[in-house]
Amino acid sequence: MPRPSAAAFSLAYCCGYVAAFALDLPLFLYYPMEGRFAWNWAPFDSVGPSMAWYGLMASACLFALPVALVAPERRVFAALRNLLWTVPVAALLCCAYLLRVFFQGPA
Amino acid sequence: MTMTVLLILHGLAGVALLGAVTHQSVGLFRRHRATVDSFTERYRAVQPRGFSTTIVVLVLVSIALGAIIYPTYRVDVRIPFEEMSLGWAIGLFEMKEHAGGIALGLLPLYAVLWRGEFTDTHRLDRTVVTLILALIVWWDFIVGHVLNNIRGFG
Repeated sequence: MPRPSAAAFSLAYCCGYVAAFALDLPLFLYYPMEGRFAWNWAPFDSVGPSMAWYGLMASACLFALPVALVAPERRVFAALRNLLWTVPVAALLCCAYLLRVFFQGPA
Repeated sequence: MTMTVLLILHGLAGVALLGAVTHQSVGLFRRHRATVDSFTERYRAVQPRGFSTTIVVLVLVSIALGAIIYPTYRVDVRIPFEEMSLGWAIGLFEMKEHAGGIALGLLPLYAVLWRGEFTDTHRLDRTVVTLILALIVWWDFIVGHVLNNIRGFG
């Protein structure tokens, strides 16, 4: 079995995280009032808010793991030599853009 | 009470992480034949490679503690923020949360860039990824501090 590529995992994770955030696709939600988890496609009828952060990280991992298993580490490093940093920078900028609504007026 | 203790531990882990990642980042820009007479030169004259494992562990500890106390924030802090129409404060926390989530996924790449066979061929990647991590740590620390000043767990 090939060794998973750390670089491919990180890059795919960043892409998967932004995609899950933008498309509202966390794997699951957490309901802090009840202390319960529920799949995103079968939400729990809570009296309080739901939290997507844990599910977003899980979605990103779910997307990144197969990519890391398939992509050869050396090839990723060779193809993206000194460009690897652009992916997390783009991911952070995308997140900031998606969050702009919080700074445009009252909550 | 338990959440307050965990919040303090989260803050202390953040302080340790801030020190380690800042020291490593500054060490990236040290001169090869620097004199070590001044404080700043002594501060820069470290082997940045030695910090990477510590930084990975501290990021994991910080995020784990943050994940444990997050539900308390969501109920006891964010809802009052919404009632006070502090949308900007909620936005700052959202940016902290997502930056932390991306930092978690960045750790494998960061570790390989510091410890693997690509350290010499990917210097720019290593430098920028380390600086991104440092930026996230500073951002998360300052935002956490500001929000706790507005309304802590009580």
